[in-house]
Formats: sequence, structure tokens, C-alpha cells
Amino acid sequence: MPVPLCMKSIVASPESLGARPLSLLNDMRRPDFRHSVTGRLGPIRSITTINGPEATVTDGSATSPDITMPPRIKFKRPDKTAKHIMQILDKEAVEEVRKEREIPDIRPGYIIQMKVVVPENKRRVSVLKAIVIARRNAGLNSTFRVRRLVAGVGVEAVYPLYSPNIMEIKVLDKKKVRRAKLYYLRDKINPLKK
Amino acid sequence: MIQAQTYLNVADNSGARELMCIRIVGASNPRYAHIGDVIVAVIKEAVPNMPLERSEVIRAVIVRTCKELKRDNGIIIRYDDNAAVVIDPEGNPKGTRVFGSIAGELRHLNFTKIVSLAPEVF
Repeated sequence: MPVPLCMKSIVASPESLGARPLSLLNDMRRPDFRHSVTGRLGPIRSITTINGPEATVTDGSATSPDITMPPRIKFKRPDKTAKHIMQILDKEAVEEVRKEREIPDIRPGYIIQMKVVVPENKRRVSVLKAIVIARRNAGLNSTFRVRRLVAGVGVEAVYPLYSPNIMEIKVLDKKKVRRAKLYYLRDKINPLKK
Repeated sequence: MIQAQTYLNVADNSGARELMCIRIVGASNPRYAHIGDVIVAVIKEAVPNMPLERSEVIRAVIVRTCKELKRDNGIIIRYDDNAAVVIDPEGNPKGTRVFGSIAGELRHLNFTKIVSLAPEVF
């Protein structure tokens, strides 16, 4: 049985992995497309070895037990890995939150005023004026750390950037700092904002 | 994470200035105390001419810790010092004023009087 032409395009070297969907599209325009699709769905997933095309095609009818196959090295298509999928989900979640609320760019050294809903207090804590001392980027779980003086005692708080408890963030001032994390402010009595 | 021998500031006007923790109250012999836990403490420094004197053993509830307090909504709070409020065996504060911000967790632990006296509840 002659190997159909579409098979040759599928049996590809790893470089054309990314182009594989295109080759399948090309096949769809061929007259024998139906035959090709029903005939072979197996090798499409398994053509990932680096050894060479002749080793990968396993014709269901024609392998004899004498032929020794070199070990298969499987690797996943990059867009099928869980890491990639999680990245997409993360970006979608972030965009969804950004559509609802306007979240300004917050960097260390900014003095911000935020309105936070505190469920313990059953009211809004309106004026939370603080200086941002750190920011951690982790997609939807990005957090930022603020520091403020409350009745003579310094209080630091870490907030998730996309938390629904934060009603509003307003940037009041931007101080020039030469660090990403301003933990040295803990030793200083007079924070930059004054 | 307050343990025995920890010095704490006093966040009210009961007359004590500094306490040293000697014991954490609790049936399970806890090693550390956090915000909202009651401790037994001895007064190391006191304001003169007040009902509380130095080297008196009293109970106090911790209101501020340098160790972070984590909340379920992802907010983490960290104070710059360790502080406590002197209380009597029922849980009422001995002083009449409370200084500094108080964490909202104390309200759920039935320290409502302290929370109502606080200038800011956070």
C-alpha cells in the first residue's frame, strides 16, 4: 500500500513541529483528505523523536518484530504544556479584573492613597495614605507592600494588587528611589513621604 | 511570635510601660503567642503614681506583633513593635485609652471594649 502523500508531510523533523498544523491544513485541500485523516491519527502525536523520520512511522500492518526501534524521546508541544495553559488563564483573569477597575501602575517609591473595604470593620477605611515599598509580580497574585505610620507606630501591609477589597488606588506622588525594595525605610523614623 | 522573656510595649494608659511575657495562656501549652492571645506578664517598667507598679504580675492581650498577621483575603499586616493591652481576668482593659491601631481580629475574640476604644481598627 503506497504511503499517501499527506503522510510524508506529517512525518516531519522536529524543526517543522510548529508548522505541523499548517501541513495539516494543506492536506485538507487535497482530494484524498478524508482518507488521510481516517487512516492515521496516531503518528501525529508521536512524531516527536529526534532520531529521524524513518524511525517514527509505525504502519500498523507492516512492522515485523525483528526491527528494533530506537527509544522514543517524547516532548510535548509547547502550547500543550500545563505551564503555557496556566499562563493563558492567568492573563485572562488579569484582564478580566482590569476591565472592571482601573488599577494604576504602582512602583516602589510611589505615595498612594487607597480605599480598602475592611470586612472586620464593616466600613471602608477611606484614607490609607502610604508609601509603596515593594512590589512582587506574579500575574494575578501580584502583591505590593505599603508602609504607613499609624498613631506613632509603623504598620506595613501586603495587599494583592487585584484584590476585590481594594476599591480605589490613587497615586499622589512619586519619589525618586534607586531600589526595588525599600526595606531600609524601616530603620528611618521619617519616611520619604514627609 | 511572642514567647516567654519577650519584652512588649504597653498600648494603653493603665500605668505600665513595658512588660515581659512569662507565660502564654492556653490549655495546649503553646510556644508562641500571636495577636489576640492572652499572656501572663510581669511589669518591667511603670509610670509613677499609677495603680500598676513595677514587678507586678498581670495578664495582657497582644495587640501588635512584628510577626505578620495573615488574613484570609490575602492581606498581611505587620507592625513595627510588639505591644499588649493590660486586661483583668474577665477580658476588660484596665486602662481607659488605647493607643495605636488595633487589628479587627480582636473583635471576634470578644475583646470588644478594646476595639471600641481604639483610634483605628484595621
